[in-house]
Amino acid sequence: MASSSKTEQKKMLILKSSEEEEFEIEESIAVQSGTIKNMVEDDFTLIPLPNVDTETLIKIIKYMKKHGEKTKSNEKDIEEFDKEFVKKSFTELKELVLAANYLHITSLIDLLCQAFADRIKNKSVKAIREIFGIPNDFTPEEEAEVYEQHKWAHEEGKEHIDHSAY
Amino acid sequence: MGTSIDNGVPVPEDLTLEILQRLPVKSLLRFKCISKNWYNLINSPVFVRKHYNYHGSNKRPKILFHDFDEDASNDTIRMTIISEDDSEGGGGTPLIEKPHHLRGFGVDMSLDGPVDGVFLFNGTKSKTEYDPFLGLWNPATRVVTTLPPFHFKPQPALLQDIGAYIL
Repeated sequence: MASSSKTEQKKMLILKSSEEEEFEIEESIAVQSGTIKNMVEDDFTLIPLPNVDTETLIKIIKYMKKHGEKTKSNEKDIEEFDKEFVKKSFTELKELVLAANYLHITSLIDLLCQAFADRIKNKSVKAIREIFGIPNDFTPEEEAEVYEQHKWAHEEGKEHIDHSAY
Repeated sequence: MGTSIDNGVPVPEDLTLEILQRLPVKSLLRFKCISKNWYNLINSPVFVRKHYNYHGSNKRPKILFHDFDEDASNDTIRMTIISEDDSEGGGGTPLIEKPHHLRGFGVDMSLDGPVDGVFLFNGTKSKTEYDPFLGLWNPATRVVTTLPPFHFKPQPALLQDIGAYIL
């Protein structure tokens, strides 16, 4: 005889950050992370996450909890949440996207990468280098050549180029 | 100084590509200047395909209108690409009007395509003699490439006064 799932106790997991802080979370919510799902299937209930610091883990849990309670009626609410969620510094976004990638939370990776793209698309070449910490390995002549190849892309609308690295 | 997010842990390439594929073409062309690595990433056929597929699936259709007029001077290329607007009521925003980068490629501008975002066109180098050539045009990158000379006679294209193509 199958037992009613309504009487089942909600299974809880413990997520542990790199700083050894522990957070309790419903399994049904946590398995939005592919990585956690795999560990649950291997019978883990204490999930160590050495790649995720406490601050980042708290944000991720917040995201998963919000998205875990998705229904037809609160779509707008979740959209608003997502919009606010990505209003963070590039440093925070980077920590989040690395963690989301490690945890295999597809919707969050998508949200964060889109936020990055939206924020950097009008930025200057110099600003991008600063944001991503990329040294310029072109010689001035080489860079000028690459610039010439697609001059229109640099020149058109250049009054709208954003030079800030924030 | 600055807000370098590369504080010890660089963004792995697969995540960088996830971000890059969401960027409009114009931004990507500028970002080729960032570093040799980004130059190669953006140019790589694998990435170009990835970018094309990503935007293909999310795509709002764009329509290219070409008013092909034999009597027009070489300077007048009446072509407009219109994209469905994000604004209320639509209406369409002209993305390229009278593409200047196509000037000088011949009065005879019959277009074929697009295939993977690229048009084939039939141009003539000279107004006085028949000196035809084929070229490829990518409206997104605005790159025009002349193909090597051919030795077959192209079939006469169906000459239309106005052509509309879906991009």
